[in-house]
Amino acid sequence: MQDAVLKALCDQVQHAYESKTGLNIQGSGSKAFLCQTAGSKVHPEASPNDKLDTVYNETVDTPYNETVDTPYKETLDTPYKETLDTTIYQGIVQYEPTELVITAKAGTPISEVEQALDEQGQMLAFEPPQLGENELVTVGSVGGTIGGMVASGLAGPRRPWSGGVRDYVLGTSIINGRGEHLRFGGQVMKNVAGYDVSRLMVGSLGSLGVLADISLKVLPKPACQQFYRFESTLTDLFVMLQQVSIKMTPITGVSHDGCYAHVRLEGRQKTLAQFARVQNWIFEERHQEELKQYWLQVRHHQHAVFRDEGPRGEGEGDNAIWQLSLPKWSALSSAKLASLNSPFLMDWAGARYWLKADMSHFEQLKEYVQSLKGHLRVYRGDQAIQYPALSPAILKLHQNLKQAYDPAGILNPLSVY
Amino acid sequence: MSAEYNERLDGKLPDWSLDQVLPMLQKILPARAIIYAPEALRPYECDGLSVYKCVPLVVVLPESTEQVIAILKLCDQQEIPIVPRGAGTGLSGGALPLKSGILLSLARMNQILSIDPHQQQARVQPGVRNLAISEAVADLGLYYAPDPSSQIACSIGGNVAENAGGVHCLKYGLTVNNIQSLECVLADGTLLEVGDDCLDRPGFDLLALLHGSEGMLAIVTEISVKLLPIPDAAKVMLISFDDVQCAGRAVADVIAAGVVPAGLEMMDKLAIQAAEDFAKAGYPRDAEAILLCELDGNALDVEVELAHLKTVFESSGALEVRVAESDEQRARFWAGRKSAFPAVGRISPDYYCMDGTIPRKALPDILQGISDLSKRYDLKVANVFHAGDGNLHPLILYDANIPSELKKVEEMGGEILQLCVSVGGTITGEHGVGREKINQMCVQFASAELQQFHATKSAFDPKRILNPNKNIPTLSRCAEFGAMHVHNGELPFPDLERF
Repeated sequence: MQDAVLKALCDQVQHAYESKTGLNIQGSGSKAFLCQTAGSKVHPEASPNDKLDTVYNETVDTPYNETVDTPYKETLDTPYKETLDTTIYQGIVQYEPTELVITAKAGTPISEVEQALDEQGQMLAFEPPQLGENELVTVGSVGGTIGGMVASGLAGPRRPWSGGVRDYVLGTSIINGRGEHLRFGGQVMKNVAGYDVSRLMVGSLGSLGVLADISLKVLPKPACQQFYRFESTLTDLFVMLQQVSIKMTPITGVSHDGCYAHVRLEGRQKTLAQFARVQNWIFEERHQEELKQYWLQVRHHQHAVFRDEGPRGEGEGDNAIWQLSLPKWSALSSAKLASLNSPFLMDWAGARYWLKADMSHFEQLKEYVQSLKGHLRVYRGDQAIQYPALSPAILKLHQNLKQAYDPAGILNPLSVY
Repeated sequence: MSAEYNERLDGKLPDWSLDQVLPMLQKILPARAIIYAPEALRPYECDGLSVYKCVPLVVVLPESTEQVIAILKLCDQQEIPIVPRGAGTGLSGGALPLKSGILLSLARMNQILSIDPHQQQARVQPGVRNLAISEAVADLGLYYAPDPSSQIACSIGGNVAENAGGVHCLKYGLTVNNIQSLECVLADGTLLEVGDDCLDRPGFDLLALLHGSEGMLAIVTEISVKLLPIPDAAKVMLISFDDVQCAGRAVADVIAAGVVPAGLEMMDKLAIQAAEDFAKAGYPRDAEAILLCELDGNALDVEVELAHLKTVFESSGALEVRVAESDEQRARFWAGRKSAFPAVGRISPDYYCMDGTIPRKALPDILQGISDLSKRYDLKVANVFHAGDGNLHPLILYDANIPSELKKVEEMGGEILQLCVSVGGTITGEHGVGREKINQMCVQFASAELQQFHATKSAFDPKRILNPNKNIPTLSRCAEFGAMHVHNGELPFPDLERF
C-alpha cells in the first residue's frame, strides 16, 4: 500500500503536470539558494508556459568541443506557481546497522539520520553540510533534509578519500514529472538491474524527479581523529602530501584557511601516532577541540569565508562566494590570490576552493579557472551566472533527459540547464 | 518463456544482408578491421553465457576513436543495429549479437595511454584487460581496485558497461566508484568527454548513468581509472562452521564489530568440497559453510582487527579460525574460492551461474528457499556468496545433454531471482541483465519504471540502434511473461507501447 502522504505528493505533481504549473520542490529550504535560477534560456517577457517550452525544446547544433556560454540571462521573477513541500514526507524507514544501509524518506532532516547512525557508531562518510536558513550561514543554525542532500550532491572534507554523495546512494524512489512514483536501485550494495537512475538524481537539483525514499550506504565511524595545523604555502603543502600519498595514509582531510594548513587523520590512535611520528608532525593536545571546530566549520560552510561579516575582497559590486572545482593538488598562485585580495578556504586537497570576492572578478576568475582545467561556480551571489557552461553535446543530453523525466518542465523549472 | 530475441515481443529488426552492409563498411574501415567469413564469425556468436548464440552479420574491430565515430555515423544514418563487445567474458548475454546487426568489438583498442602517479590515475582504451592496469602500475606501488573474477581476461570497457564488481566491493566499491572520466561516442557519432579530473562538476551525473548501461547509451572509447596505493598488509582468515545460518550470522557480527573487511566470502558444503577436490586449498571438507575474510591496510591496523575478529568469530560459533601464515597459504585459501566455478564444472557436466543480491539478513531464508527449489526441480545447487555485500552466486548443476534440462534450469534460476526480489534484493548484482534476465526485469520493475528506462535510452539513442533490446524488456514481453505489476488495472491493453 502506498503511503498516504506520498500519494498526496504524487497527486500534486500529477495535477501540476496536467495544468502545467511550475513546482518549487522544497525541503527545509536550507539550500534553496542553489536552485533559484540558472542556465535558463528564457526570454523575460515570455508567459510561464512559453518559458518552460523555450528552456527545454531549444536544440543546440554547435560542434562538440566548442564550449558555448549557456545563454545565462537576467534573474527572473519566480516562475514557480506552487511549492511542493517534501518535509511532510519524513522519517527513517529502515535502518539495520549490520546491513550498513539506511533508508529514509526524503523530508527527513540530515541531523535525524546522522543521530541515528551515530548511536550505532556509524556515519554518512561523505559528510554532507548542514546549512542554515535562507541567508548566509550563522554558526549553530543548521538544517537540511536528505532529499536536499541528494538533490544538491554537496559533500564535505572527506570527499577525495571516501567519495561523494553519489558513491553512497544505493537506491531511490522518485516522483517523475508525470506524478508517477518509481523505484530504482535498492537497499543492497550491488545492483545492476536497469539504468542507474538513483545516482543520476544526485546533484540534479530536483529537476528530474521529486526524491521520495532514499537508501544510503553507511560506514563505521573512525575510532579516532587527530588534527594537525602548520604554517605552509599551498605549494609546499601539496609537494609534501603528494610524496606521502604514494603510500596508504590515514589522511582524510587537507585544507588551508589562508593562514594555516590543516590536515585531519582518522583511524586507530596508534596508527595515527605512528604516521604522524614518521612525518615529524607535532600533536598538540590542547588545540584539538579548536581544530575539530575548524573542520566542522569547513564541513558545514560556517567558516568566515562563507559569512557576510569579516574581511572581504576589494571591488565595487556585490560580494559573492565562489566555488572553484579543480583537479586534486591544484595550488592557486600566490600572485593571483594577492591580486584578488580576497579571503579563501581550500578544501579537498586542492580540488575545491571557496573564495569571497566581488562579482566584478567574474571574467578574470573564469579565465583563470579554465586555465587550471576546473569549473567556476557562483555559490552565493548573482544567480544569473551561478553555473558553469556545458558543452553543446552534454547540454543536449541534459535537455533530452529533462524531457524524458519531466516532459512538461514543471519540476524546479529553472534550476538547471 | 525464452529470453531469446522474438520479433513479435521485442520489436521488428531491420532486414539487413551482408551484401548491403559490407560495401558501406569497406568504405570507412581498412580490410583488417572487418570480419565476415562465416568461420571467422563463429567465435563471436556468444559471450561468457554460451547457452545463447547468434552469429552476427559482420564483426568490426576499430582501432581508433575516429573509426568508432565513422561506424556509428553509418549505423545511425542507415539504422543498422550494433552490438558492442569487450572481451566477451560477460555472463548475461549482453554482447549477444543480432543476426541482422553489426558486432562492434573494442578488443583492438587495447592501449594504456598514460599513467599519472600524482593524480593517481591512468588513461586507458576500453580493450585493456582489467588486471593489465594493476600490472602496469604495480612498480609505482599502485593498483586498480575492482577485481571481477574474470579480471585476467575481462576488459575495462566491459567493466564500465556492466558496472562490474568483484570480491573487494564492500570496501573499495564497484567500477562506478573507481572511474574518473570517460570519452564516449553517442549513437549519432557525437564524441564527448563525460567527467574530468575535478570532484564536483556542473550538470547531471552522466558518468554514473553510463556505468552499467550495457552498451545501450554510448560506446566508451577512453577511460580514466582511479588508482589506489597498494595496502601495506593483507591477511586472510579461513573460518569454518557446522551450520550455514551460523555462518550468515557471523557475517553480521563482523559488520557490527565496526570492521569493513576487504573481502568476505562464503561457500556452502557442495562448493567447499568441489573447490577442495579441485584446488587443494586446505578447506575443511566436512564443514557446512566456510567464510574467507580478508583484511587489508596499515600493518598495525590489520593485526589489531585480525585479533578482534578472531574473538568475534569464536563467539559466533565458528568451529575453527585459521589465519594464513604466509603469502603462499593466503594465495592457496583464495585459489579455492577463485576456482569454485571450474571446480563445480568438474563435478557436473554443466552448471548455470546465477547472480542475485539480497540484504544479508535474508540469507537464511534464501538458502532455505534455494534448497527447497533444488529438491522440487531435482537439481543440485552449490552456493558461492560475496557475503560482505550480499551478492549470491548459486551454481545450478545440470547436464545439457539431457533434453529439456536447460529449460528446467532456466525456470529454477528465474524462481531464485524472484526470491531475491521478494526479500528486497535484486535480480543481478554484478553480471548485468543482458538478454539472460530480460524476463525477470518484469518482476523487479513496474511498467512505469520500464517506460522511464526506455525514455532514458531514447535521450541518448533515439533511433535505438545501440545494443537494442538488451537490459530493458518491452512492455509486450512483460505482458506475455505475465508478471507485469498492474497498477489499478490501468494496463494500457490492448495497444501496448512498443519500443
